[in-house]
Amino acid sequence: MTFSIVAFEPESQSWGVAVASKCLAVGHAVPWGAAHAGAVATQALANLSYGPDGVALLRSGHSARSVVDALTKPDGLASQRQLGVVDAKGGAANHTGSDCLPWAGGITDGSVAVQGNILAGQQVVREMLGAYKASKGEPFVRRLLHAVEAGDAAGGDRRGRQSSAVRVWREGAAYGGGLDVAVDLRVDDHDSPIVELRRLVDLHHLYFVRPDPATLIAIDEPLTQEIAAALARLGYEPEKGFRDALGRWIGTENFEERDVPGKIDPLVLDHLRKQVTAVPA
Amino acid sequence: MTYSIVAVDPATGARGVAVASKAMCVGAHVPWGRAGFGAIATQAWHDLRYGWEGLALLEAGHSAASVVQKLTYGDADAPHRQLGIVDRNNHVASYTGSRCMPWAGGMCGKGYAAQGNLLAGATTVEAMAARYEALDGRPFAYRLVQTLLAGDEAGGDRRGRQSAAVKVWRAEPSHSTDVDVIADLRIDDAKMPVHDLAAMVPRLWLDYGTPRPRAAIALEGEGAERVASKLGVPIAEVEPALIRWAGEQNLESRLLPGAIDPTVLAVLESGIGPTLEWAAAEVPQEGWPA
Repeated sequence: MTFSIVAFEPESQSWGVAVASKCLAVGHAVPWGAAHAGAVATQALANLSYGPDGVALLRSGHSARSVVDALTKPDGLASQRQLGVVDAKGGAANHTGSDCLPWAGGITDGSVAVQGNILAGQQVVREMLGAYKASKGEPFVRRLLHAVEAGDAAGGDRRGRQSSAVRVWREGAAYGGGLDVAVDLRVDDHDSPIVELRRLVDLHHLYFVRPDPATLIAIDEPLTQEIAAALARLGYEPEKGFRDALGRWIGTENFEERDVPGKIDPLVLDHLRKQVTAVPA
Repeated sequence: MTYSIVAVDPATGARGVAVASKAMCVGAHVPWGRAGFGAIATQAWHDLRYGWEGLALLEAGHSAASVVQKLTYGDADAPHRQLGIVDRNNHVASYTGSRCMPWAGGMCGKGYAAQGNLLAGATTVEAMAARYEALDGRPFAYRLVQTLLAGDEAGGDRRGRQSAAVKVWRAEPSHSTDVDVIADLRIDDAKMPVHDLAAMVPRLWLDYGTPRPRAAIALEGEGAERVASKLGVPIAEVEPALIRWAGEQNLESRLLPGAIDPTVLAVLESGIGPTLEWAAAEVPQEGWPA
């Protein structure tokens, strides 16, 4: 039904799950986690309570292996379940019930568990692990995405594609700082859910990551003219006040995090240029 | 920035939130709820704290109005915030801070609160309330999403469209093997997010729905022959083959011992496409997630 990666990245102190499936809204059911506790992917004949129950066990300090045992041993349907877990210290474990639909299985390596069922074959999980390990140094969310992309390229869910999701937990990461959800992106029903997920990851980066000061472009005279023309085209009336018009466009597009007076973020400028190109002449 | 409805289903007691916005991933931030206790939409210059602290207050037995008071009292940013709440006794409250960007406001009716900010005008919220009331008796998730569509048609977020979501919690915690969210659909970034959300609702009904035991066809005699011939297996193996097939089709939530649900039979005999088309046109009353 599904292939997923569950991982802990010590460098960024982040826990994450990325998943894809031929089912509706896989992100609703599979990924669970919490910063400094661990992460869980529950799938196949998914027992959703494995998610919150697993995270509760992880919070109280259980290892990934003992969480898998604690969840599956009392469960009469364990033979139809699949589960991947990483714990607070980065230990990894997974479980594939003997009645999961073939190909089904998983591997663990260091702080990573990859697993799937109804797959094209074992190469799907092997490629996922390889892509994750090969992308060390990139942002964690992109490494998770690479893993799912590699699984898809290796055949993925043999029934086809429908949904995907990625979630990352890091202490104090959420909008406003109060919660630990750093990334929570879902593609619930789409012809190309993994291509779409990559688009969302890029967009998320654009909205929620502060600009790199080294890349900011000073708004000089030629650029002022270009931006003013673009804002005029989009109906923001820059002739009544350039800075005000640019500020309103930035507000409308939710780029407040990237708004730096007197300068413009190249990613924001690129977005403006693309938007203008899309306006009919 | 956002418009939402928070409501309780008079038929089942389930509580839900539907929301749309010109902001990415609105479904990840705005809807909060807990089976048996209530649901919350926190928006405008929203504070995620309002979500989890609001839920804790609802669990402690506070009314919707009291939760609004407790959250906003002492919060310097309260004038920038907007909230809709339904509590465990199905009372509702809608709060709009005085400094939310215009047009901003909300209205309450029996069992629902509709609110929004940065809207085209009061007509957006009025159209939502009117549609919600007009769809009394219809399946709850469908009704919530249609309410968003009415808001979208009445101008919606005046900055444009980007994301939408619907989330529904059971009336009471089930104590079963599953958690208590019975509908959870998101469109995180799209040109027509509310329309895309509405298009997923028949799929929600089909894939996450419940079987109708009284209308089921027993897997014996003629019924078993019909199913066995479609699956291409001997009659003796019809039930395990059906379980396997349903698992691959994501229809396992509709399986019944010794019988086949009529919706599963429809998919087996006509295919998923025609079954979804039928569901979109007819909006079946039965077989929704519960």
